[in-house]
Amino acid sequence: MANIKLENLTKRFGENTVVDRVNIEIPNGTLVSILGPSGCGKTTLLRMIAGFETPDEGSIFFDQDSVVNVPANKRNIGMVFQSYALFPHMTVEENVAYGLQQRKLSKEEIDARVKQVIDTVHMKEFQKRKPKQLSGGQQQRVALARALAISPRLLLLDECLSALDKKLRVEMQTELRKILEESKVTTFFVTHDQEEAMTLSDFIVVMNKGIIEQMGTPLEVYEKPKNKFVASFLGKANFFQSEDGTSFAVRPEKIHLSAEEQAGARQEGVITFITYSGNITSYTIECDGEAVLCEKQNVQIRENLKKGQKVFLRWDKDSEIELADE
Amino acid sequence: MRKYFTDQLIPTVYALMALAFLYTPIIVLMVMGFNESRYNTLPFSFSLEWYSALAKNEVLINAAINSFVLALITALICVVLATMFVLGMKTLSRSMEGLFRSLIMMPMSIPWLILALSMLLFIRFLDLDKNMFFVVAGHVVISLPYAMLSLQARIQALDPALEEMSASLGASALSTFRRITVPALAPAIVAGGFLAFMISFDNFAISYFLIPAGTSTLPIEIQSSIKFGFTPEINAISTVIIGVSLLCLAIVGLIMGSSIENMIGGKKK
Repeated sequence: MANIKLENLTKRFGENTVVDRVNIEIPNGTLVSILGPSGCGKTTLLRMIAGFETPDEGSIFFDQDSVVNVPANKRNIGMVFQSYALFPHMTVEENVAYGLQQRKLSKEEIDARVKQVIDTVHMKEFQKRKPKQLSGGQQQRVALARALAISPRLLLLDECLSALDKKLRVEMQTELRKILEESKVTTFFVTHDQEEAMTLSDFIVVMNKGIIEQMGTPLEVYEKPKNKFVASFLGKANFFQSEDGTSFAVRPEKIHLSAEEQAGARQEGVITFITYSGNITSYTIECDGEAVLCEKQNVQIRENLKKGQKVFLRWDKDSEIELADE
Repeated sequence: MRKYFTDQLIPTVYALMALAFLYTPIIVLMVMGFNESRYNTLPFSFSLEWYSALAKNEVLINAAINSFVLALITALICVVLATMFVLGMKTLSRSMEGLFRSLIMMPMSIPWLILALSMLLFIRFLDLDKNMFFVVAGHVVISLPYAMLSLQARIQALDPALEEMSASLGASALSTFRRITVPALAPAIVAGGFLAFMISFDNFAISYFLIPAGTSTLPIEIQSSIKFGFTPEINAISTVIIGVSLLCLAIVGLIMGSSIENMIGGKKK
């Protein structure tokens, strides 16, 4: 476990700068998500931390030690890939023991640790099986157990839940969070799924085109996104221009709709589309040629708003998120 | 009725005919080894005469042993080289890899006769005598592409993340090679070795052109016995070879089990 500090980390492939002067500092035991669209540099960033890519500039510190010149096999980092990369010719036990065997521990120490970690991920009854005989979720657990077995200074998870189906993914998110909280290991979690990033992390780093757009707690990045990219990548947002020319965003759930004109209405428009999805109903409203999205919790069944109807939109001044100029 | 005829009967008959064409000659060859007639003629009367003659025929047995040893050495060299090549080629740029691959695969598309002739002329050019070293070298050249084919298919299906994962768990490059890469490639190494062995074992042209006087291999002996009078001892030794190959195949099948299945049938999910 360690504090991790990335300083001006830069990586170029030919003319392309895929990671551009990235600075991140995270305290011991935190779970940080690196969130961004594909091609934003998040995987390259992770691979530099792991030691599979050499940065062109900048440094990586684990506590006080610079690790840029330390080879991957000496960094003591646990990794879980999207493909899990379980060793196909080894049983669950052997997979988990692999990292410990490299550390020249005694057989008793290895056995004890393997047993402990396999218990943590609830895979005791499957320990003699080969990876091929396991389901996706089970393979995921083994991959995690193998990474945790070596008591890593840092855990790197690369899109590791993406291969699971939705229901299992949500279950694994909760379980992952529990396991990680118990093991108190500093974790980098790379994902393109904003919901996953919000659920799992203490901090979110939003990346785009090799640079960090914003860093903060899930609450901060959702409620106070700095710019249009962050606002639209994390959740949904409507963008407006104020009279002085600056732009601001309003989240769909913060817009109130009413059929009658009322004091403080900011916009008026016509409902062009309604989507009912159980807990919420989404309305698309056309205001001055711009589509505005509005979401309502279905506390009561509301059927008073119909497609084609004229409505008035209102929101609190606090709900306006000022965006940096682009 | 008509549908049954076109969809089932004709294809079945067709397939049976193709199989018969493949296997009847082999079966006839094996059966005639147990026939008393010297000239492979009917009527059939069971005899082990040719097998006892074979047991005393030192020329044929020595030739078979030569072929076996030659094929074994060739196969071992081929799998080591092929493994090194496919692993080494991963580190090359795409165009260099393509060039390298073509150079190694080229002997597949050059007739063995031409290859054998060029090697013979080359030895003459260097003013050297024919020796077993050249025979082995020649066999490696023609067998290597087959070993490479088998390994390349496997290495392309190999998840590069496995080796990275091994490194991240603290394994040195050597340890990763020994514990991850080699076991993952093992089925392809065995299969490639078998292919190389088979190519070498029944090669005639290279051996015939390059082998030093006084030594011979089984294909050379069989060829010369056809020229100078053919006895069913040849049938007998062919039957023995077929039996041994099937036995080897069965043993490998048992040892490698599902990995061979996976390799031949591709990756099934």
